[in-house]
Amino acid sequence: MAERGGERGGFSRGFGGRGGRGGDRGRGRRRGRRDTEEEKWVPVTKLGRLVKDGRITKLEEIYLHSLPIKEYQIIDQILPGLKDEVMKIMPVQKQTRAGQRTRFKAFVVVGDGNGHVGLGVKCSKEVATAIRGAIILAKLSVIPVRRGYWGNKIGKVHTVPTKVTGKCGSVTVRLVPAPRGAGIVAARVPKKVLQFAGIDDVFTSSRGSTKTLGNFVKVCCYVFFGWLFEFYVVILWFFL
Amino acid sequence: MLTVEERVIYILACVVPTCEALRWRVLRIQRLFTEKEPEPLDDDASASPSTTKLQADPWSFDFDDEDDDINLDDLGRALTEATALASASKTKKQNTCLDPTDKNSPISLRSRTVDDKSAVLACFYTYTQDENYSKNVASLSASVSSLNIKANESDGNEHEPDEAWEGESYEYDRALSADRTYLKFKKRVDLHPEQCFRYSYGGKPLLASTEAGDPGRCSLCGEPRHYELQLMPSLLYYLQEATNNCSLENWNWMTVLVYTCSKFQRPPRGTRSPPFPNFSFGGSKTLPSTCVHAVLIVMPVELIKGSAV
Repeated sequence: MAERGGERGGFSRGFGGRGGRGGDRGRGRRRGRRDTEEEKWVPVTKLGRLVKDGRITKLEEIYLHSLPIKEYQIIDQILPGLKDEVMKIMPVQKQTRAGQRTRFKAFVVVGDGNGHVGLGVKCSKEVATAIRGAIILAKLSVIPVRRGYWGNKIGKVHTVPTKVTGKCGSVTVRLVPAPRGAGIVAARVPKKVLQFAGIDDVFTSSRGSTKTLGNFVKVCCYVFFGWLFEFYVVILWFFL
Repeated sequence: MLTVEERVIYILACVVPTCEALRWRVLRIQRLFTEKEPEPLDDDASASPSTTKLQADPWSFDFDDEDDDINLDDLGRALTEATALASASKTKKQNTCLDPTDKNSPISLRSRTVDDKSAVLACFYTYTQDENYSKNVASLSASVSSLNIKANESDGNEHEPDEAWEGESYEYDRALSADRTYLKFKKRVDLHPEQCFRYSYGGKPLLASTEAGDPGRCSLCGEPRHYELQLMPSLLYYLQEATNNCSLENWNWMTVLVYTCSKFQRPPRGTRSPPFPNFSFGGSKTLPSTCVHAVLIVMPVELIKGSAV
């Protein structure tokens, strides 16, 4: 896997390089400005009205006050450079009297490569509907990712601040801080998620039935919840 | 004979930011035109008749003798006062809520001064549109280009063959802070983002959360109430955009459902006295014959914790 090795060693700090690499499997479709095609957004929640007015410009302000985000257009407006990627579309079957009814389940991860990541899972009878719905759900589930240093606190943050584990079903994933240049040492699925989160170097260790990759990808997103409360302290300090 | 009903529903709410009670009131005002109504006077009787007009009206002389003039005067005065009272109370209610922005209301309030400092909301024209909602939402979506999806569809399967995703089953929609009911609500609102009201007499409301509350029974006749219309949150956006001196900060609802009595009501005479005597100025539209409270269910949005940004 020469490509993989190359990526590990020379993974660039910037996020834009990811999409340009030939060996990169991700599609990293840039959402861009689609407002001209869509209908105008009329906000439905109070937070939406504040965001549309431009009184809230950072996601951290929303996280600081624990405001629930109920409209995906809020995320669109605050993070215009959000990328998304379909992890997997798998058929899910249900046995009925008239045979089997197949629906498609789409797993989509969104992220900006700079501390925000979200996961969306949607089942639908058509693939396109499932993907579109999963993108919306992923945007609604964006959470902040806390990053830190392995050793000396010089330069930008590059790894997870502490060892942390997350669990979903039987799958547990443990993230361990790594020195610069280590890259993301993980399987394909968590590697995608961690790349979207903007973590550059990390060691991972997983346990359990990781074949149930639905659980696996959920763990990778929910592991960041462990830092949420501490994160608020950090944000508060930042604002003060 | 056709019975033509006139029916107006007033939804009243307080916009004062410091209002603690946050009470809502709904009035349903309804008038039935039937052949039994006596119409002794001309059709051009205005809403605020004066006594002179009454006397000048040629019809009135057919009813009463000459020596009953005094009674007619008293009657006229009483009617005038009653109508003025009715229009005054109505206009007063309108002043606290959805009111035309011009303060010079045509119905003069004799003993009441116009309050220039009270908050006024803007007045809007609305148009109705049928909602053609079909279950095939994929055909209606415009936010993701379908070509884009189809071109990349195969990528989802091109991964290492030793990765086998196992054991997945159907999963209901779930986001961090949004449940299934709300997501369905939002999906229908997004189809027509500018909808402010939804009307469906006796239909099913579009709920934003699973607890809908119980509308109860009509206070007049005891019939169960059924859904008639609901207010949508885009209303808040438009009202806030259009107003300058009125802040709708304390209006935090997601949708407001209005339930009304499922049977149209004409109360039997004598049970509930309308504010006017029992004959009408023909053709006048300001005399309600029934005044029934409808019931309103306000679905709140989540409480915003902490200080507002």
